[in-house]
Amino acid sequence: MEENKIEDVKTMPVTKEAEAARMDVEATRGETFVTPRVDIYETDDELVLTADVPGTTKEGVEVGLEDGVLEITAHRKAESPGSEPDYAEYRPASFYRAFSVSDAVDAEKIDASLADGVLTLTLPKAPKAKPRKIEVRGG
Amino acid sequence: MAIFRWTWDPWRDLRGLREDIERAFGRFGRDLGVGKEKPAVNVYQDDEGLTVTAEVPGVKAGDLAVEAEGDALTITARRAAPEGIEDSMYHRREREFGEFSRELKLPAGLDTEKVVASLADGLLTVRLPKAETAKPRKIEVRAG
Repeated sequence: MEENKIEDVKTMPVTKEAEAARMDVEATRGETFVTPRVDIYETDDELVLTADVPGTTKEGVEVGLEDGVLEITAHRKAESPGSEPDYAEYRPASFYRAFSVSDAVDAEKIDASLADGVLTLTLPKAPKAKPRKIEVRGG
Repeated sequence: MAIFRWTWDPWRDLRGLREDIERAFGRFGRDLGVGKEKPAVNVYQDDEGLTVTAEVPGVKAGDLAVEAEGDALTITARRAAPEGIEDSMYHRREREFGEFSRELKLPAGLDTEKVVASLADGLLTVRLPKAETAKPRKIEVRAG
């Protein structure tokens, strides 16, 4: 199986400038964004992305894949006390992150689920990206 | 872009404790590897008490412990690493797993018997009401 362990799908963070531009657009609407921590791993059949997005609910999560760019936006409501924290270590901001994903992902079949503040995206590989064994037929 | 406010004096204790710990381990002023300040907390104060919120994504209620004793609030959370995924399969690995613990020094006058903790969407909220004796009382002045 080891020989199949080639990285079929490339994932690259979208440039900081592009992300920052998007965040600025959102910021004009009075919403601030932070970058969520993300794990990405690849199996033979799919790419799995998990992101820590605490404080968000599924109604506030948007996932899109367009032109090879996977965008994750998780809107977060203000924390319950509603006021500025008196002591702060994290910003209760919304989350935004974008990755460029090679076209080896089957965009139609992306699955997203949210549980306990963790977003899990399953991106199945398009058939052509799966390792294929070509059978040689005898004449 | 708004930056955290660090100007609130009554909470100097809270930072002080962390610095004490870091000094004790000879790491003051350096970025800590293991034992980072986790989970990150925010503290809100109002007339009736304190609300402490902590980001604990992926932590189940059963893997979370909140203890309030004397002037210390301890939050311990454990997040299990996903199983069966080999290092070589990762494209990107930023999230951390294992056990995290935080201790906060509380101000005087809270009723630690009445602490309520709740967990929703990866966010822990701990409410610590003020003790009745600590609330301001209006003293009636009687005419003699």
